[in-house]
Amino acid sequence: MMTSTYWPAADRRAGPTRADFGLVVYERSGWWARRLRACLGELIDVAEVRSVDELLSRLETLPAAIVVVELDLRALEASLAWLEIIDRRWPEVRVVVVACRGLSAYEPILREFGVIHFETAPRSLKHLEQLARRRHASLGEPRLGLVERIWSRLPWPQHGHRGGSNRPPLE
Amino acid sequence: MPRPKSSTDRLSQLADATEQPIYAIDERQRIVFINAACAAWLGVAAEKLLGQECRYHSRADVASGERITAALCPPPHALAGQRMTGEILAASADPAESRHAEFIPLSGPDGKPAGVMVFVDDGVGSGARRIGRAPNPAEPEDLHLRLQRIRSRRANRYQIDRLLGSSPAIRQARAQAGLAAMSDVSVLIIGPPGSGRQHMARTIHYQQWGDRDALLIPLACSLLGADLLRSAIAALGQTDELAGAPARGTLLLSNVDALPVELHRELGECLQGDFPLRVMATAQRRLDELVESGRYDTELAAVLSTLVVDMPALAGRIDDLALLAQAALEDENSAGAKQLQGFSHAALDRLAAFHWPGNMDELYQVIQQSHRQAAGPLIEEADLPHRIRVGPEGAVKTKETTIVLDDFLNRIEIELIERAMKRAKGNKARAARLLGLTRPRLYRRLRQLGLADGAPADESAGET
Repeated sequence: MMTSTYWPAADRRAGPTRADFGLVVYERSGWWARRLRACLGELIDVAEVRSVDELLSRLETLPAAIVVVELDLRALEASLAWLEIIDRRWPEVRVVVVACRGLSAYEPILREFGVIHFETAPRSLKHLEQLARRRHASLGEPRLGLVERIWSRLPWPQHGHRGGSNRPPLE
Repeated sequence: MPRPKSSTDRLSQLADATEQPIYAIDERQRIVFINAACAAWLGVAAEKLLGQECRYHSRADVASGERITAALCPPPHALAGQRMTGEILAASADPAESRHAEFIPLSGPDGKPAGVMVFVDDGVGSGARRIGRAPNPAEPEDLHLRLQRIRSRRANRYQIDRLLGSSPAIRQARAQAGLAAMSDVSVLIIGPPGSGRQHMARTIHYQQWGDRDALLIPLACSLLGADLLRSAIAALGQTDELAGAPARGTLLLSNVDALPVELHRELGECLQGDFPLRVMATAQRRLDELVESGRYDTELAAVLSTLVVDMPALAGRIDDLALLAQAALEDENSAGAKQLQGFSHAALDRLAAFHWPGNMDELYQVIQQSHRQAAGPLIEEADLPHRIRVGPEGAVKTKETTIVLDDFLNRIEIELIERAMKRAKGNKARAARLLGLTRPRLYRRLRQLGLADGAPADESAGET
């Protein structure tokens, strides 16, 4: 039937919380991650990945993330496979595709595979920023213990120990 | 004197003598020519295929003859007159084999498409491959084949009889889903978060379409906001072709009760027109109740709610819980090497006593976590998450946290210094400013905390 995932920070409530959320940017150049970090970094963790393995591994700790993926025609077909994995394994993950206009014809297919927004040229951060802020606002605060509460309020979360996360390092 | 053979005969002889599979279809998509090599590759006599129509689909629920001809159908762009390359599948082979093919459109005297000649690789070189090997990502046909396979898998996964349970509520939901799958009317699926509303929508879609080319396009109303929703819906409404295939399928508006108010009237009008897709929606609250309280547009609510499917809360069908938990456990078994048999009575009692605010999603989450925890062969009470073991009352009492203050403050200080150093790109003077420290004090703390020797000479690499 349906699949679900374990929300690490949601031990006392049903559903994902802000502790399960972050932006994970899968791209080659770092262009999007740099800019997203500049406008959202103080509020939301922005992590960069360079491979599918790295992406899936990151989602283990951020199962309610928004994934921003830069896609081209060559990567399109392979992307369907991992989009399907994400759809089944992390139903709370939302995927946004940034692509050239040439890929517009495939927008409906990508949407079928769980892509919630398709951003084509000209490159604009506006929509991605809005989506991230809206998602962040829609998630509840995790019920944290004292240690996590203090830790969650430390400044510069993007430079945190756990790869851009504002959680305490593992003992 | 013997009559000279016609050029058609000679062409036919030439084509039959080659090892390369060749076939042709006419403008009505009937197979009008198939050479010996092609018939041999397909394992079907040419006479059985000649005159058969090929349609561009990948349904598994049709006769084998139709599956074979459907697999031979050139992509729609080739039928429309575009010369292209792609993949052709020998659906009759076991396992199915695909080969690279070239589609050459033929024009009639009026310039309109008159058919397509298809030249398939002879399989001697690298053109042939068994399905399942990595295809060439640049070919649209590869994408089509992968899509076909995925849709076929999904059509199997999302079946009404997989909506498990025998409680009256889920039996009614199954009956409603069956009804919805037989018609084309709009469907509103109502239920609490985590109750499986999306799953139900997919089940209805795949029950209706099977693995045929039909898209299921979800739009997240609560997340996208008015601008993005407006542009996405407008784009879908204006096209009669999606990704090279006729626009058909389902638009799924998730959490439609959270749709921005400014879109209500506009969406209602759009969906009442010639919108090419069937519309399904999910909601937490009934739209007619929102209409009564003046918070929802009457027309839109009516357009969306032709047929209503109620998804029950898990707490309202606890009798189904043992079956659902077992299904979740077997899902976990199928995903990895660890195999568990079931649940102890005590564990099942605990699961049944829980109030399940997160419904099915939460149940799957709990089983996933317990599966990881259990040593087997059964999931025991001790393997369940703490909140399930203690129940809702016990969960309110939080465990006392203790810390060792000096160690804790040291960890925090180390973390902040490291973050500041990263933010300052190793520039210690700038890091000191970020931390509100003097530079000598930062050096001293770095030394004391064992982060660096703190000697000013060290900072030269980071200083700019």
